[in-house]
This record gives sequence, C-alpha cells and structure tokens, in this order.
Amino acid sequence: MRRQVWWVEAIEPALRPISGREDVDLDSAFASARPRLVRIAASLVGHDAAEDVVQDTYLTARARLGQLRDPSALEAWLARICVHRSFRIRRRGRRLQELLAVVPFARSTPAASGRVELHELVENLPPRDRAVVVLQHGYGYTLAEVAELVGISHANARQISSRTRARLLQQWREAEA
Amino acid sequence: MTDPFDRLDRRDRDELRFDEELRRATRTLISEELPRGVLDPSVGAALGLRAGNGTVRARRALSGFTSLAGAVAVLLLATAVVLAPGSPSGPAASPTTSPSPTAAPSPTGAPSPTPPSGLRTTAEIRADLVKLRYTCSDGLPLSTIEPGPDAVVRESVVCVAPADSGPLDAAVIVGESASGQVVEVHAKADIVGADTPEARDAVAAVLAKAAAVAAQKGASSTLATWVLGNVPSLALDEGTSTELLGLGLKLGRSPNGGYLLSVHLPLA
Repeated sequence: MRRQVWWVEAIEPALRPISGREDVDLDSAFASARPRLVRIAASLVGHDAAEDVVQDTYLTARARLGQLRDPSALEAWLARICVHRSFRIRRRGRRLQELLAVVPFARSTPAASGRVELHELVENLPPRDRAVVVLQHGYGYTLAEVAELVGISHANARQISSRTRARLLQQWREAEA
Repeated sequence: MTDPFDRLDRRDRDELRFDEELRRATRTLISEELPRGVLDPSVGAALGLRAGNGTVRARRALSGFTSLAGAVAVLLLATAVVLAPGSPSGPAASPTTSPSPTAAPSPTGAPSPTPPSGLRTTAEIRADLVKLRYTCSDGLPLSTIEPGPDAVVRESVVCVAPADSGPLDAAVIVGESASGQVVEVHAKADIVGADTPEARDAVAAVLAKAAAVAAQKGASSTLATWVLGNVPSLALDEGTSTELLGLGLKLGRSPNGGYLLSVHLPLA
C-alpha cells in the first residue's frame, strides 16, 4: 500500500521545518538572556524552580524558533516563554510538594519569628497563584495582560487572582490580629 | 457599640492597606523587569497564544514540537525498554510493505495469546516517555473538524525527545477524545544533517519506541517491529499503512524528509 500520501499532505503545512534558522543564533542569545530569565522565573515561582523553568524555556524556544517572525523580538519572546513556563510548572511542583509533605522540615516559620511577612505568604503560594499575583501586583500588569502572558482566559485569571487575594488577606488579618 | 459604617470604613481602609502591602511585598520578589514587547501579539503568536482574549490557540497536532534526540541512546532505549524479550534483534527485521492482517503473528512467530487492543492511557504513555528522558508538558484543546466519539478534542500530552544527542528531532503527541480515551498517538522525527542509513535507523528506533509505548502491553513488539521494518526503506513522499492487533498505523515521509507515524484506534 505505497504512495498513500494523502494524510501526509494534509498535515504537511503544520509540519514545516522548525529548526535550522540561520538568522537567529538562539544559543548565544539564550546564554546572554539566561541570568535575566532566571531572575524573572525566580520572582514568579521561586529560586528552587527557576532553573527548571529556564531549562523548559530553552527547550520550548528551540522547538519553536521557526515560529518567531521577528528576530529582533527574541529577548521578549524568551521572556514570554519563561513567564508561560513558570505558570505551567505547577504539575511538577505539586508532585514534588506531595513527596516533600512527609518530610519534617526545620525551616523558619512565621510563627517562629513571631510575625508573618506578606512576602513570605506570597512565596508559599502554589506556583500558579504566585505567578498571577506577582505579575498583577508586583509587575503591575492588568488581569487581561496577565491572562495573555500565561495563556489563560481573562475569567480564569480573575478567578485565580481573586481567590488568592482573599486567601492572603485572611492570613494577613489573622497575623495582624 | 461600634457604628457599622465605621466598621465598614475600617474594613475598606484595611483592604486598601493590604493591597498596598501586597504590592510592596510582591515588588520585593522582583529583581528583573520583563522586557519591552513581551506582550506584542507577534510574540504571543509565535508561542501559539492568541492576542485578545488570552486563550490558548489550538494547535494542530505535531506543529512546532521537536528537539534533538540521541540516536544511539534511543536505539539502546528502544531495545532495552520498549521491545520485549524475544523480539527481533534490530531494524533488519523483515519489512512489511503490504497491509497486514488484523491479527498479525507475533514477531517470534508464536501465536499471540489474547490479542491486546487499544491504546494506553495518557498517564501510562507519559510515564514511560519520561522514563526515556522525554520532556513532557500538558497539551491543549484542539478544534475538531468532525464531532464524534473518536474525534480528537485535545492533545493530552506533548513530549519532546531528549536534546542531549543524536542526528534527529523527535516529538510525541497524544490525542484524546471527549471521553478522555486516547484515540491517536503521533510521533514525528526529522533527521538533522545527512540522511544516512544510520540516521534512518535512529529514526526507526524512535518511532518504533513511540508505537510501542502507545500500545497496550503485548502489542508493543508487533507494532515496533512493523515500524522498524518500514522506516528505513521509506522514500521521500511515500507512505504506508496497516492494521495490527486492532490498531491502525500510518507511516509517511514528507517531501521534506520528515517522518510521521500515527497509531490510532480504528474509526468507529
């Protein structure tokens, strides 16, 4: 049953080569942007997960380089991927959290210091919630822009933001009382 | 007795103070601003994101997900992890270029006990690919052309082959129906560099592994053997298909040289 190529032809437009761009030196650009990407990821998901995010960023960038229309936007593109991957790292983090839940940590807790700091509460949020809150309140993006950056609907971003703010507010009030 | 309006005012003030505190607290976590242009529509479009409503643009399966995979590593992994003991020793297995019977004999020639059917679950496929050092991420919804129980409505997982070695790019994408059943698994591989027999063997191993991982236990060897036998001889712009143990297989090579394998449930 040779020459049965109809199905290959049907999807060929989606299979255009995506590697081998000669106008973009991804490796050099990535090496130069890497420290900044790590700092962006660290603000969104914490230092522990930042390296993972940046690794994912490189893999995604490499795989999708052919889709980058404007080579001069490479750094913005990498940052955008980095933000997007930060939001998507939740599953891996959750599995880790489940594993780590049984390990008794001797970390300094708010109770130990006698007073909770709001940034500590933010740091302890699940990665998705933290990313949305930091993008909205820290970076100052509107919810529509946050939704755009992390690739979710506006309604979803609003829901995450509202739920997380309410939780933080409650914890903050309890600590203030 | 406190006036309720006073309480309300105090509460509002409290929330305002909280919002200011929250802004300050989140600012302390930031040591790098996002670059200009990060929200440009062209940047989002290059990521498969659509400007405007923030929803993720559905992608056609297999677009834009490739990475390097090591031919040697994949060959070893395909042999060690995917191919069951007793399977043929390598790509030299006799090619099957014509449609095969629905229930093909096992590679060893022994009759197959209870012919397994169907595809494995997304979680099972993903877990095995991760063992093979694939990088997996959640997929996205797809716009289906034909509604129906077998229609692929979402890519449940997208896995990119390890990037540390090899003369090829490869990716695996799993497609689920609305009921959550895996109905289609695609594997794409592109040779990077010279199109040599060794590179084609490496592609064969990657695709064979994908087919084996997709199929239920017991069918893996049969599917992998078919792929290993057909890939090396496939010319540009050629395709072949068959049905084995209740699963459809389509293998093709585009005019550009890329290989594509689809393992799918038979149409209802």
